[in-house]
Amino acid sequence: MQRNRGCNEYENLSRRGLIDRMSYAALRSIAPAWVPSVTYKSDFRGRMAPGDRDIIISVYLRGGCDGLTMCVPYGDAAYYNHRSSLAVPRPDQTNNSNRAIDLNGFFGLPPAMQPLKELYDAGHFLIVHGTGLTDNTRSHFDAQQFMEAGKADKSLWTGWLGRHLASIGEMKAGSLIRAIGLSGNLALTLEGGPKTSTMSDLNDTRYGGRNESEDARVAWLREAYQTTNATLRDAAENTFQTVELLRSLDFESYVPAGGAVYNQPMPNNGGTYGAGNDFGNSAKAAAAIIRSDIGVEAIHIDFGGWDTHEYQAPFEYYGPMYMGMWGLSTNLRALYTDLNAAGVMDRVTVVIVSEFGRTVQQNGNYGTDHGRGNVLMALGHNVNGGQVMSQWPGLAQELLFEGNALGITIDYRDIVAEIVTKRLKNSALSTVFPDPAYTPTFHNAVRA
Amino acid sequence: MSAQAMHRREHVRMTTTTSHAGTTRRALLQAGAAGVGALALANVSQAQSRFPVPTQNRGLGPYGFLNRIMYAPTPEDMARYTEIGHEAFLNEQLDPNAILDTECEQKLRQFQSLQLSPYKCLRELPDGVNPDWECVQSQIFRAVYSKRQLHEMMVEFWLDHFSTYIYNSNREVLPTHLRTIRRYALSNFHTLLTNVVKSVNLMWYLDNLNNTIGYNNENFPREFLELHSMGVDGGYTERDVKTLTKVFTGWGMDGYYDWPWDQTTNTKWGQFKFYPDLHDTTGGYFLGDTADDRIPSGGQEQGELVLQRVALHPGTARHICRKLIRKFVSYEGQANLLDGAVYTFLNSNGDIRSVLRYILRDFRFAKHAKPKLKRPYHYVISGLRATRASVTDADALIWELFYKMKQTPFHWAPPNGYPDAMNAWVDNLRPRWYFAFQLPMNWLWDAQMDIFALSKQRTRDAVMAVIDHRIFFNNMPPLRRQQLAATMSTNPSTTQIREAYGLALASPEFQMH
Repeated sequence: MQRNRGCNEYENLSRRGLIDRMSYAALRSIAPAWVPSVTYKSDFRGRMAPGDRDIIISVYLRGGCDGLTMCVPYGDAAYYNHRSSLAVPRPDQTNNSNRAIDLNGFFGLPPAMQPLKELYDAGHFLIVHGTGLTDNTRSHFDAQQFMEAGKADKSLWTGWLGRHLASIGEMKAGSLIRAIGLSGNLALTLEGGPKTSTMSDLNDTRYGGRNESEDARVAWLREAYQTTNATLRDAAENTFQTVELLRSLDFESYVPAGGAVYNQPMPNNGGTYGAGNDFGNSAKAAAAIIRSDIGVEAIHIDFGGWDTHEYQAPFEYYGPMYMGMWGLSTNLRALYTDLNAAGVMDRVTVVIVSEFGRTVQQNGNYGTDHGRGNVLMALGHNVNGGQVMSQWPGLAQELLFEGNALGITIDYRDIVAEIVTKRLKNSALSTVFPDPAYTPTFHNAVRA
Repeated sequence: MSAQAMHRREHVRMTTTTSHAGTTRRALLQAGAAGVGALALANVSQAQSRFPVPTQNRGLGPYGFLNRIMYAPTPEDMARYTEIGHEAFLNEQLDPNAILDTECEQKLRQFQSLQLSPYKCLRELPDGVNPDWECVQSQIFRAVYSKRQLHEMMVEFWLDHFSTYIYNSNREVLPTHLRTIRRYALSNFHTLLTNVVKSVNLMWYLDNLNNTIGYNNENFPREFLELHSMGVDGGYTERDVKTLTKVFTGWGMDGYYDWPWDQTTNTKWGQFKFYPDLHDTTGGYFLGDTADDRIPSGGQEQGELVLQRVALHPGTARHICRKLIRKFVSYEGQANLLDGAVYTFLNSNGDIRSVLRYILRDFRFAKHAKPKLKRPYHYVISGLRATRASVTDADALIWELFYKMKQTPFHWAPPNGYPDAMNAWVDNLRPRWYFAFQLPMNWLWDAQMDIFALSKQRTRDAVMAVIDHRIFFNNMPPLRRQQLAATMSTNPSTTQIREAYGLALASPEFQMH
């Protein structure tokens, strides 16, 4: 009868949303049938020149994910002192099924992140630990703004990825849309970029009204929106382009390559409910957009549910940490399989960030409160993966930030700036990260 | 953690985590908004305008004001405003209980849980009546039908300010949360804040029911300071968060430890209760280092003291006034307007009406107000009101419109409320146009408009006049008039008329207010 008190205000997937999607399937049949179809490419060989830059997928884990669970510092004995009931056991606890999967003798993955182990071993998956926003705020909203803007500046309302796009020419000349935010509201990360739009539901492209008059009405709107303020005018133009694009994609018929399966059910209860379904849908959409080869060069995905103040339960199927990590790892794995089988993975870099880590000590409710240092993850064929990159700040009590949080020894911008420079081929770093107090230090996280 | 609580944890029905929690905060609109403002006054005659303002700065005009304090004014509102003037009209709206609201109250008769205590919601509602869902539906009916429009705007404002998420709320307690906000929306901020906290749902959503001595949880105390009162720059520190966490231990819900809940006989179930045994009495320094700043050791009175100090703190005054100005005046705000509003807030001990009267005074509004984008919810409600559409059920509107537009009451997952920023919403225009084109065709489920009741004369000129009056509030720009008239013949067909309404609702002017 009662809902889960559990855990966090970031949960978002709604049962009514599911009904919504189902009911829409029936209505979909009235969409115009004449729209041209784009084929999803399955072989990109020969299409890519050696100098081409990467398409970037930026993933934001909203709420402040618990990096100490997602990449376990089992080699730091203090970890087990701080977390009496939430710690992931050492890999050598061989009779404990919750034990970590060893990565490098010091760090390990929890069982729910197991699907990424193979990508780590293959050298495609990188974890950076003890990283994050160097400004000392524990507010979700300030931390998110500062990270997405790339500077701790309350008046800066454009994002690093938006400014990247604004400071470099189009990857594919004449593309309708260069960047897509797969969420209801455009993420600040993408703000300020040209030809950028959001798509919250890739299947719904209806303008409403009579089909016979749709072209005329859209033409009327196109003209009317020429004479209004610039923000509305641009938004309208992006909307027309986006709808055209989505109709040509026919996302519903998309078949992932390589047998990739998004939204895999959790092994211990067989369901997918709550386990990052929306992230799975977004990852699939990202793959479809990339494989349609329409010139989109940046995709941003928001993935909520990480503000685990209560019962974060990293091992149980109902735990927000378990569900979050399962959704993240399986869908990243599917995304990789899909894009790799289609032959396009050489040209894609994925970067995953969150606003802060969580307190090293668990709180009184089997959860963790807002902390500081955290993990950052990257995936790609040109990522120097297969390592946990860290100047480990340490978990001994005297080493903790303000007595309860992991320190930060690597500015998250270092990693992002290196990706922007080497993979997105943009040298205008002072535009992408306009902070005079900040000079990027590269850590050899990716290859040029 | 008591054994009972653990037991309950095992048995609660698990909903879900994760998804796009679009917790984005967005850029203020700077560029280009002035264009609409210039258009807005084009057709207002001097006689209609009661703003004593110089001609070079005429702001949004009178109907611009009505469009800011109402989801959309009706022709009757416009006539009334012209008749009694700015201040008198504002004062009427600031006294909602004096406004007869029969039609709205009739529409609300279908709801059974809105006035019920949590206990009655739990034990006495028939199957199939969901109190949380009734909160969502009733808000939509009220926004469309209530004549107490400013009150409804303020309720929306506080629902964002004290935002709770339906899938992480106690569904039997949610009506109390809503009722409290509705009751105190135009009262005193300290009263509002105290009563909302004690309505339990906010504490539920932010985990404070499990914040107990020895088992601290900082979630609610931190968001209380950052979002509900002082604002992130209001001048509190990490130490204050920690003190407040202790102060709020034991602040909880009656019957929380009863099990099973659905068989409880505790009629106070779901109401506020202070648990002395779960409270950390130590207190500590709060908002300062002097002996006076220390919260002395004690019980519930510690929290009451904090509520009082925080509610009337200058940081809180600034935070609340800044948000109100953003809501009613402009995205950018204006330093001297804010200073005056803060002064008014503090001088009146946090009287919300006084602050609204200050920022909405005719000459101040005329001077400072700038065009804003309607948020999607506002947009749909305004379209329904402008066309005098009748709403028979809210569910289809929610599924077909508000979900697609990503703004449904109680559906914003993070605690900061739906953003009040143009860039947060402007990119999702397609569902707005879908609404605009479906409504006049009467192809929306559960919302119908009577095109012939609006336009009894069916010549093009007559239809244009009605559209100008109802949808453009007598401010249709000449170019738009020309473009719209061109879609109809002199004696237009019904379909042409319907589609002209659709285009008007979809036009850039109707997106703004």
